[in-house]
Amino acid sequence: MDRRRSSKSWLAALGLAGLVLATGAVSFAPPAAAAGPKDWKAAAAKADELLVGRLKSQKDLVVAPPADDAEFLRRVTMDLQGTIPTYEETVAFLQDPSPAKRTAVVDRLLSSTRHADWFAIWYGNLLVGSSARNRNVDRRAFNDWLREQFRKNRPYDEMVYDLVTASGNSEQNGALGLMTSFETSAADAAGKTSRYFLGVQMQCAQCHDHPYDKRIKQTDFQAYAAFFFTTTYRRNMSPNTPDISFDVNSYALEPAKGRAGTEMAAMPRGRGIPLMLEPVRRPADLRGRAAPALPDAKFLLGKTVKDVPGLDRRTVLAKWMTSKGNEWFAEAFANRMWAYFMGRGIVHPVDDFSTSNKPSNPELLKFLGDELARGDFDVNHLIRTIVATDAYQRSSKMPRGLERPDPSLYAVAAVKPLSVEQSFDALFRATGAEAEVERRLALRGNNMEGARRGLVDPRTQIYQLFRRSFDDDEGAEEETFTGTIPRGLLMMNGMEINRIMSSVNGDSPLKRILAESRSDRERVRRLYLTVLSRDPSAGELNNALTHVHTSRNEQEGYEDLLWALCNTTEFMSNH
Amino acid sequence: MSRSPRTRASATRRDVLGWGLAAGAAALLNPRLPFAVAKDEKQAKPDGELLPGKGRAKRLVLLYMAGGATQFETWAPKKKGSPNMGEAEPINTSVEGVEVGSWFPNMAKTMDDVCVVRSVTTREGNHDRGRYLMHTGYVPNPTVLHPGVGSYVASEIGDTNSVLPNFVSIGGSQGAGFLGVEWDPFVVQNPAAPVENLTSPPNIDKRRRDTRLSLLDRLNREFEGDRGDEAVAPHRNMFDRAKKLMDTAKNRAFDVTEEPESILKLYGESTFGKGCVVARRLLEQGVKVVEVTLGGWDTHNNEHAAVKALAEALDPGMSGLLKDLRDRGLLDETLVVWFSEFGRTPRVGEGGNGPGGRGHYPQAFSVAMAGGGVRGGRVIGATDADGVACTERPVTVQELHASVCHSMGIDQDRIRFAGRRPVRIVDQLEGVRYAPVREMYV
Repeated sequence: MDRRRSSKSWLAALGLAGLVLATGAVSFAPPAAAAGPKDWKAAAAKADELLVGRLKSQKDLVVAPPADDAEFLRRVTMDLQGTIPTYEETVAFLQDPSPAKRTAVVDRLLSSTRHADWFAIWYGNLLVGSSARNRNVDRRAFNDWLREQFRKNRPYDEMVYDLVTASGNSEQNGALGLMTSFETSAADAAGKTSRYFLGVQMQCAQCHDHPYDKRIKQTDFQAYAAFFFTTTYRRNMSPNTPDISFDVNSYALEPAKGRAGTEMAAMPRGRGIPLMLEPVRRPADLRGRAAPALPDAKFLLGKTVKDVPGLDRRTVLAKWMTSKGNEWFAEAFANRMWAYFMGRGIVHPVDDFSTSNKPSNPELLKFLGDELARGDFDVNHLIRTIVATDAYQRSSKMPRGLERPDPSLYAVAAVKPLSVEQSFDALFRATGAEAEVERRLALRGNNMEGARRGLVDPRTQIYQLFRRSFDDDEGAEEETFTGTIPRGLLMMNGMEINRIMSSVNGDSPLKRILAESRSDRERVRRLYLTVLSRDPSAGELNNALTHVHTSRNEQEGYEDLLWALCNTTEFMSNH
Repeated sequence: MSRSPRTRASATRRDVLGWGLAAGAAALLNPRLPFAVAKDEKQAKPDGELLPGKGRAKRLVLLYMAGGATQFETWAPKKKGSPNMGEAEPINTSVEGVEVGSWFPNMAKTMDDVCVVRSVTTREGNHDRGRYLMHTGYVPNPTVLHPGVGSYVASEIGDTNSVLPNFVSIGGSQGAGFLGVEWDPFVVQNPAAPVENLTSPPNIDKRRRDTRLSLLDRLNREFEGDRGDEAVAPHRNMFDRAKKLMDTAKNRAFDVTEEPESILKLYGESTFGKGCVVARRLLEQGVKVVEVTLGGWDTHNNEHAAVKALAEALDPGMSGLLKDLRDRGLLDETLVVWFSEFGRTPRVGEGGNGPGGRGHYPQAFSVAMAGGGVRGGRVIGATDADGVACTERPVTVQELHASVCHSMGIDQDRIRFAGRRPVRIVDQLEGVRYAPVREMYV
């Protein structure tokens, strides 16, 4: 049994749940009626219906036709695995006559290791940033933990519960990655957890009342941050510990001795530093200070929480946060996933829910949030629902000369820039370099097990080699591709890039294509299917053939074609 | 590009209008005022004062000491024999009454160009947070990624059509944050080596490279037709700019080996010195901001040995740069800022530091500025005899950023948007507008 459910029953057994419920704003919805397999098809149809309602209100609106099989396969593979389909996958899918093949491919992708790998990196970057050498996170342990969550399709509420309540040592408990990233800053903890899990930019109220959401006062932020005041943080720096090792613990509150009522003593034990609004970095800095006053904690727009003996404040927060009665929790995640797949949130930007930033389609948002909660926060059910919508399966092509419609209408599929990881995984796959990357990863992984660990995730480290040259605002939600000069230089002149484009390279698909194909037509076609995961149009085929025939020699001609295909906007985006 | 701030052209129009009015009014009130009177003064801000030096600087050099540079052995030495000085000593400089650490003999001769602020005070004693605060002028905040000073200055005075990048960082810097990657620094890791990937590999000659690029353009055409130009244009722009940088003769500015021996000698043999040479070469070719980083200042152990070694790079590098800029008549139009994330603790070897080491100390430390309208030969602020607390004229990070804006002719109150959130160039903490450090300019 997982920790969350068990602690709920533990609470009930002790008769303490009532205490929390009576004082806080927690209200647990009754358990969902036991249903059969969740009906994502019906959910997708409902979502489309809610979208069509808005589309109909627009005059002269052009809605894109459905994406063809190649467009769909590439898009869904990129979204679910962070890379392009292999040549073999593409050919098999295009030839498959089954009407249910789109559903089948989603099943295959969701159950793949690659999906868990990619979602761990994507979600991990969102929570703690993409830096490979984050000095505050054992990224390897964190990635391992996240990978396991997505592999098991762990319910989202349980996952967040674990992230928010994580305690112990970072090496033993990978879920600690998020908590350790805050160091000793309760403001960071409050700002980031409310932003990531509730979609509310509460941080805006750290220094003043929230400028766009009049409901949130500065004192609310401080009271919310107080949920983290009973947490202690310690960075282990002994030679016997890994390079990055942390202990995060909570001190349960006890009734103060010799005092009346339920007043709590708030003395941290152990060697950690308590999280505070004004962070302190070293235990020495606390010496001689009076024990910090422990202000009451308060839920966002909710009630003040009275402390319960033996119960950690973070547990109380996590229960409230992940409960089905929480007005933001399910919608925030539904919106984040919708934005990820559709290229734009129903609330946009994704984590800016406020009274002054209304959802473009409140009915749809509510429906998706309800669907998620009704399905006990089954992440894959939400994903299946979204990718089964007509809206997701529309083409990103627009008839020439027409302006692209308002993205919040979802009338045309979005053209989304790729992340650094997606860019390189796609490039590695298209050029065959993936085999070499996997060999290197295996080697490095083995070496690292024996050595001091906790440095970085080896996969993250590979991306880091390129990250410097790529545009990447850590934690920023990129809406438009803005390539830097170093990225252009790298793609044009990088030794590694040119090596993997070379047909002499043993892993290169060019080598096989040149050897096996009987005609230039077939070669060009195979190259298109390998790199762009589709057949070339007649015009493209002629264009490519002309290029090859006018090249100094065949090998060079095909290498240049591979290089150019890998640098097209089509390759460098998801569409 | 959607996220870039206002264009240079509109800035110029507005500034010219503002200046016309302000200069006219100012001339009536005070004939001694220099020409460049800016619009924020004319609006009679609470602290509004007509300071000289506004907009004097056309370019900016940041000398960033990564790790937390000591103030005691550099620009704010205590008396000889003070327990906080250890074996380091103060020496006289070209400015009477101003002393610097004895390991900086060349800087001592250049102090008439330098204005030292000895009373900078912040509350960030953590490397990452301190670096962020000093570079951006904002306390780190998970909601907004603020631009570093190099990026915001480049975005205000830079030229989007420039062949060379507007902001070059030698050794890494703070990025552009919400201003977008267009204003990120172009990072050169090693100034003594050729720029990474600037030349084609041996098997790609120029003809082949151009074949690839024109093929790429043709391949993009169908996608562009179906999905619109806005998807493709940024890619095309990226390759255009990269290609231009490869092909321009101006990129020789990155090549330190073109300098005569005498210049290389003046700046010293170190990588930092070479970085300073490259900085000057880049400024001459129109680059607006160059940041040169010198790392190794996190001296928790055996500080004297470490600082002596750093001084061998910093002393000739910085003094060489100042002298060279002056000799070429560029110093007056170039603002040079020497800074770090924080200073070091007054006592040596205490508070968890190793033998002879100093810890992090943000309460009272130094920043040095030169050129760009800043009066040289000055010391602003002071600390007590032990260097524990500021006793005179404490200076905040916001005031330092306001000063940079003043010298660069940038409106420190201008609002840019991070998403929906309005963010001023210089933070107004709790509604207080921080003015430039007046003592630097009058």
